[in-house]
Amino acid sequence: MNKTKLLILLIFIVLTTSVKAQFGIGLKGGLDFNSVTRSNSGRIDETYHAKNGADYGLILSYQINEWFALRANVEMLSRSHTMKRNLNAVKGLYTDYNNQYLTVPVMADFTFGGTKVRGHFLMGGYVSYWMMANVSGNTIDLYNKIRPFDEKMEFNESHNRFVAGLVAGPGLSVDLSDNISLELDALLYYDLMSYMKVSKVSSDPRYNNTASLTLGVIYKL
Amino acid sequence: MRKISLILATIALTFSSCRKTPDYVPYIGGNSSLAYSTYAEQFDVLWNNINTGYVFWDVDTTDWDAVYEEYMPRFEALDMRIESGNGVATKELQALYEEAMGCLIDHHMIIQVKNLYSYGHDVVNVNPANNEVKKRDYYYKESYKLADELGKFNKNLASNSVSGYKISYSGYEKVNTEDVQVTICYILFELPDGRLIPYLWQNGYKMSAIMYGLNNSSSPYYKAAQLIDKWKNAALKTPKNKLAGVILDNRCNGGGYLSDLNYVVAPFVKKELEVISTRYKEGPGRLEHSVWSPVTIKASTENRDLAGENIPYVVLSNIYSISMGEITTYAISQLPTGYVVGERTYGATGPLLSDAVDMTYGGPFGDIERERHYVYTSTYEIKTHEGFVPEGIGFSPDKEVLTRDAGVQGQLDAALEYIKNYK
Repeated sequence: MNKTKLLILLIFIVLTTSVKAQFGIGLKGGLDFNSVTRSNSGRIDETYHAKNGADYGLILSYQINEWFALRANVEMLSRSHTMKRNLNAVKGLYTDYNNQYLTVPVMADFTFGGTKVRGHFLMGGYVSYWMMANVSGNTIDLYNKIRPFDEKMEFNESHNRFVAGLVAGPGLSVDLSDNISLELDALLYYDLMSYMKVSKVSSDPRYNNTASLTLGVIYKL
Repeated sequence: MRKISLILATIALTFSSCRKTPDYVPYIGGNSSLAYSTYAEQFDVLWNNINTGYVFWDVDTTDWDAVYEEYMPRFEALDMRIESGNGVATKELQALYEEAMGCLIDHHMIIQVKNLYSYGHDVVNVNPANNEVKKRDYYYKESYKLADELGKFNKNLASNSVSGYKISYSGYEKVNTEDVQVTICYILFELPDGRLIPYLWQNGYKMSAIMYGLNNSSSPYYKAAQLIDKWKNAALKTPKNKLAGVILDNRCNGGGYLSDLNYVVAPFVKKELEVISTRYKEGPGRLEHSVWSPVTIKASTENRDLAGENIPYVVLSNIYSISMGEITTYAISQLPTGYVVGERTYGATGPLLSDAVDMTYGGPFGDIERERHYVYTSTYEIKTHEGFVPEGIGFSPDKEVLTRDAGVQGQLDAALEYIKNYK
C-alpha cells in the first residue's frame, strides 16, 4: 500500500466515524524547559545549559470524532538557554538568553480512555518565530573587570529567526462540565532548523529542544 | 506508557537525522600548533582562524566564503606545481595573499606567512590598511616620511628656530621604552596678549610607562616624564585669565596604552566620561560577539574642568594618528570645549590583547617561526556612543586642514588661530 492510499484510507476512517464535530477554544499556561544541541567543535570553553521559562497561549481544537481531533496552539514559548564560559583565568562569565518564540503547532490529537477523563497523544509540526530576546549575565570589560549586564539582544544576519520542527507528547483532559474541560499537555518541540544560519563553507548549526508542560481550559462551542 | 516512550524515542531518532551535522571548525588556541605541509592547508588555517576570530565581520563587507571558494583552488594549484617539481616564488605568494586578504578592514592587521618551499627572504607580509590609506584623496606621504617631517619641524620649533612664534618654554626628548622609541615635544606658546597655550606632541602613547620616571632622576624616563608633567601642570594650574587653551598633538602618533587616557583626558573632565564601548568575540560564529562594555574615563583627583571655564582643548590629528592616537582624539572631541583640527585619522581603532585567544577567540595568533604564520589583528571592536564603528574609517576633524595643502606648520597655525579667536 503506497502512502497516498494510506492517507485516503485514514481520511475515510476519520470521516466515517465522525459523530459530532465540535470546535473548542481555550487558554493555556505553564512552563517550558529548553536545551540547545550544538557541536563542541571549534569552541574554546563555552558550555550550553538548559533553562526554563514560561509557555502561554491559545488553544484551538476541532473534535472530529470520539478519538480524533485537530489541535492548533498559538503560544509564546520561552525557549531560553544559558551559555557559560569555563575559563581558568576568569570566573563567573555567563549569558542568560531569555527568548520569546511565537510558536504555532498544528497537531493530530488521538484520544483514548474514559468519558470524563481521557488520555491524548498529540503529534504534528510547528513553526516558530524568534520574536525577541533579552540577554543578562556577566561579561568582562577592557580593563579585565567583571561587568554585569541585562539588555535587549540585537538580532543580526546570523540569526535564523524563523524555524520549524516536530512536536509530540501526551496529554490528559478532564471534563468539568459539558462545555468546559481542563487540558494538561506535556509536549516536546524538536527543531529541524538551526536558529543560527549555516554558512556554505563552515557549518555550525544549533538547535532548540523544548519540553513544555501546560495546563489549559477549553471551552467547547 | 512504555509503548509511548518507545514511540517517542523512535520518532526522535528518526528525525534527529534531519538535523545538519557540523563541519570541523578548527580550535584556535594560543598554544595551538596547526601542522600543515601544503599551501592549501596553510591558506585553510589562515582562512579558518580569521573566519572565527576576526572581530569586524559585522561591519566588514568582504565575502569571506567567496574568498575561500575562489582562492582555495589557486593555492591547490600551487601545491600541484610543487608536486611536479617546480617552485613558487614568494613574490607570487605575496600577490595571491594580497588579493585574497588585502581588503579586510582591520587597520591593525598584518598577515605574515612563510613560503613553505622557498629559501632566503621567504615571508609574505600583507597589511590591508596600507592599501586603503593610499587610496584616500588626502593621502600625502608614507608614514615614516611624514613622521620625519613633523619630528624635524617640532624639533626646530622647540629650539626656537622657527620664526613667528613666541615661546615661553620648550623641551624635546627621545626616550626608549620597552618596545619603541618615543619622541616627546612640549612647548608653552605665548600669544601676543600674554595668554599661554601648553602644547604636547608625542609619536606614541607610552605615558603610563614613562611617568614612572617622574620623580626618579636616574630613570631613563625622567626627562621625558618631566616634559609631560610640565604640560599637564601648565594646563591644570595656569590661572584662567592666563590660559588661552590647551593643545594635544596626535599627528603621526602610532598609539600605545589605553591607560594613557588617564593623562590626557582624565585631568580635564569633572565627572566620569563614557566615550566608547568595546566587545570581543565570544564564539566561533562570525557574529558571535560579547555584549558591548563601556570604556569610562574617571576624572583625576587633580583635575580642571576646562569646559566649565570655557577653555578650548584642541587636538591635532592626521592620517597617521593611529589607534590610541585616534581614540584620544575622539575622546577629547567629545568634551564640550574639545575641538579637532587636521585630517581624518587612520582607522586602526580596535584594541589588541596578546595571548588572549583562549578567552576572546580573536586577536593576534600564530608564530611565524614555529607555526609559519602570524596574524596581528584586533581583539576588540569599538563603537562610539553614537553607534559608529570607526574601524577602517577613522575619525574626522571638526576643522579639516590637510597636510597636503597646509603642511605640518599650517595645521599647527590653524589650531593656534582657533584658540586665539575662541570666545
